[in-house]
Amino acid sequence: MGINFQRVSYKYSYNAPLTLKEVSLDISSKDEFICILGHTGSGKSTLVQNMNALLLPTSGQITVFDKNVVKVVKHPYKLNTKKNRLKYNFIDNKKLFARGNKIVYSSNLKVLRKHIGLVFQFPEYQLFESTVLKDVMFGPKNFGLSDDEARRAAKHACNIVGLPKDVLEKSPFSLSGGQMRRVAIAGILALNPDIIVLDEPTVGLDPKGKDELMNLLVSIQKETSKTIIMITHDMNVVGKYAKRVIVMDQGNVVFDGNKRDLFEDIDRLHKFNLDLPTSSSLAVKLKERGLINYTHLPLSKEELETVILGGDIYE
Amino acid sequence: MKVRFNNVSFAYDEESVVLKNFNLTINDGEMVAILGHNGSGKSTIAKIMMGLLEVEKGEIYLNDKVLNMDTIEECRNHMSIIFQNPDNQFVGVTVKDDIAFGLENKQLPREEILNRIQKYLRLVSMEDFIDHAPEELSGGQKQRVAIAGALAMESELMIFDESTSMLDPKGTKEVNEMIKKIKNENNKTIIVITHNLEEASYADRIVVLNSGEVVTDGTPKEVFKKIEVLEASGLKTMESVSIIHNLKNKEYKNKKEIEEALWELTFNE
Amino acid sequence: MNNIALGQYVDGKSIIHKLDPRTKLLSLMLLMIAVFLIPKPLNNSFGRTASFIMLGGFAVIILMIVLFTKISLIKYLNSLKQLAFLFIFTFIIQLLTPQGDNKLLLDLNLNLSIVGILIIIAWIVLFILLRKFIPLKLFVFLGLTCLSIYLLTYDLGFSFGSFKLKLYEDGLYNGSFFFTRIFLVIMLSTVLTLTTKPTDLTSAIEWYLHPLTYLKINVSIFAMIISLALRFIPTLFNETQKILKAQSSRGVDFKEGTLKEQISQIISLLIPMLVISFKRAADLADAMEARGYIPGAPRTKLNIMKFGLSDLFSFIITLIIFATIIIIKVI
Repeated sequence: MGINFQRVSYKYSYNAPLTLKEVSLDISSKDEFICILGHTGSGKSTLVQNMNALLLPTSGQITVFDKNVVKVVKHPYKLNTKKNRLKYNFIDNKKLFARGNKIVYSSNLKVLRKHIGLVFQFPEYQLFESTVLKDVMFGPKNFGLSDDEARRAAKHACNIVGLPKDVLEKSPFSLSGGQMRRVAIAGILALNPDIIVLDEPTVGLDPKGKDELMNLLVSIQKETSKTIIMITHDMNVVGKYAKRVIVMDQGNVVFDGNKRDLFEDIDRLHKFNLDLPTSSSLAVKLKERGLINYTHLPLSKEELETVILGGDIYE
Repeated sequence: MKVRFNNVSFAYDEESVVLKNFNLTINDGEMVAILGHNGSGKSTIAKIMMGLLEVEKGEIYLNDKVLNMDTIEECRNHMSIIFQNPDNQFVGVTVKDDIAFGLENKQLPREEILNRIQKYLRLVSMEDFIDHAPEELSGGQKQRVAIAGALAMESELMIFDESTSMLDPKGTKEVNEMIKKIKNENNKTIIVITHNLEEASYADRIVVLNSGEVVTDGTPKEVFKKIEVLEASGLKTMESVSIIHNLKNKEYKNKKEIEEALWELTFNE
Repeated sequence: MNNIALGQYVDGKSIIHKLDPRTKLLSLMLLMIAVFLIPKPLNNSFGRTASFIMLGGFAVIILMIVLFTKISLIKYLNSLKQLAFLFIFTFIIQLLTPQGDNKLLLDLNLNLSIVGILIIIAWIVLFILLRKFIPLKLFVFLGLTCLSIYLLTYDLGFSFGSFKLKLYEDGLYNGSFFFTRIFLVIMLSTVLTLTTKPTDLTSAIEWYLHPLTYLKINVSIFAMIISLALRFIPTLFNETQKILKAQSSRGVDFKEGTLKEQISQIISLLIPMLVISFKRAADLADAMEARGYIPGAPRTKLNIMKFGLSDLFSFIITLIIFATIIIIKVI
């Protein structure tokens, strides 16, 4: 088992409304390709930041790989001390403790961050070292690897993301936007996390860069069979790549399952304020005009072509 | 407003030439989409037009008046631009201050400024947010404020420089609706710089750039068909067009009707 | 979601809110100066009474201003909270320093006995352990301190020395005087920040700096810089949070590691911040230039400040108060 959420709630401050409302989830550590959908403010980013303890829940329990437990229960007295905040080593802390909650935890939160690698939106902004290689080595070294081990891990990660060798000694700031993003992703891959979480990894890239990045993620998954979780707004990406889809709305998980189940129920889709992938909406319109027929809604260009040629999609 | 680039060359440094002998004419009242991958030089064109970068060689004519250091301040009165990052172009502490910024620079009378703020905020449906701070707005709303600020300048030419690339789908939709509305209701020249073909589909004309050169120029229908040219430029044609292309040599039921329907759907999203 | 509030401005429609920011700025400044001009308590009882009556008078005036703003008192006390330590510290220092006629308020002979000290340590430990349950911690702590001092006056055995604790009467008066004075001044500045938008304050400052233009100093540029800073502080603050989280995902932990590691961790935060700020600044400069901004060129003023009747009225009152203090001071 990879990540388990049990009735996890989160709010940013005492007076704020809940950003997560008793979310329960189960994510396996192998072979999952999960897309998290939902419009801005639905709690997607909060959800993934809870996964690697950058945010700690207001209540509920998060278990990562069976032994790392973050559990928050209501507690009658205050624990709002500086020492505690330091001990639990996390960022968004004041309000949580001020409300008198207690955290039970069974491992250092930093260890948990090694299991779950989180790549933020516009990750190129986190680059800072003088060379690409040094920047990728930064993470492994923070987790206690020696220089040599870190260098090996970094070189391996750069290789996976397809950075040419001559780039490694260049300054990361001299690279193009797409390449900088690869360096940033390599920085997380070098930690060798068990699960990779990405927050809108393709935003701001041009069509070619988008395709390359998605292909990269698919190939990483094929080779390592690690679970990949990504937040996205791009339904075409969901239609083509996702194996499982989680839809967030106002802090609730309103859908968790197969993408075809999601897209075939048009009314529900509208209720979630989501669109169909381009191919699917083309298919729907072609079917309305009686030009094609299908039993399963095509979700990608390839599937639509099959349907047009008279074939059918098999699960 | 008529815009003409005549043999324009530009480079940030000696190694990377961004534009080389670039020629382009944009007619008055036309909506032109400039397409290209990241780094193709498309945003440089916008900055050159606004006089934010100085060309090495060649001239730019706005309504047959040459653009240079002496005329730029006058020329800026006739052009407005909406940039990519909604945060970095929000100058005011509130929505009202931000829209007023350009008008204050123009030294318009105070009453006129207040009138225009009201008028153009209503146009972008943001009148309820007049006293809001930028932190209280979504990306799409900030871009709408930027559009209102640009419209309030009442200039003849509007440039949208990748103004949707940092927005979520909702924000993108809002901004694109605004661009369509401006196109239909005003007699403005519009330049949309983007790498998204959908945004280019309602332009009168599409210009595709690659390494600082125009590789193709035509109506959306003409350009969308040139799949190889687009792909060589790091772009992707519309999915419907790509399907027609992929199945060109295959036989299937209702081929003609499906092709027609797909073409129609390309432009009626 | 994690926005920090810009300044502390609280929206409202009170008389104080509606005053011209120029009036508010100048009047409150004058009042602050006036508070500082109240003579220190003299060594005789008359001077003392006079000082404290004046201080009391100001306290009443300031309390009235605070009530006029119609903002809850808690907001004011919150802004004082951060300085509470400073207050108490000055008070205690004053209490312990001999001054004036050195009249003693309290003269205690404290025995440093091992038993006594052990009891005190036990109290402190108990206090720390139980403080989660203790209401009004500060008062309990003060009570415990007094009790400890009282306990030390007795020799409980195994004494290894003694010292004298002397509290001076003048120290008490001076301490309370300074305490109240700082308190009042901070209340006044809080009134200003709670009821004035940062932009209005900037306009007011710009107006007062206007004479500098005759020295060929361009005031409008400074005003623009201030207002842009106000605009971008929350944005950059959010950005810092983001970078901090992104680096935490890469194992940054500011609490552990050798000094060298810690430095590289801080650099991992600073360099991205610098890069982002420069990029923002460049973008912003482009956006401003494209919208026709020319540094120093004349611009229309959208926010005009109106000096009305209520402004005149409050300004006159302030002047009267100020003049009174000056006269008293001179006499």
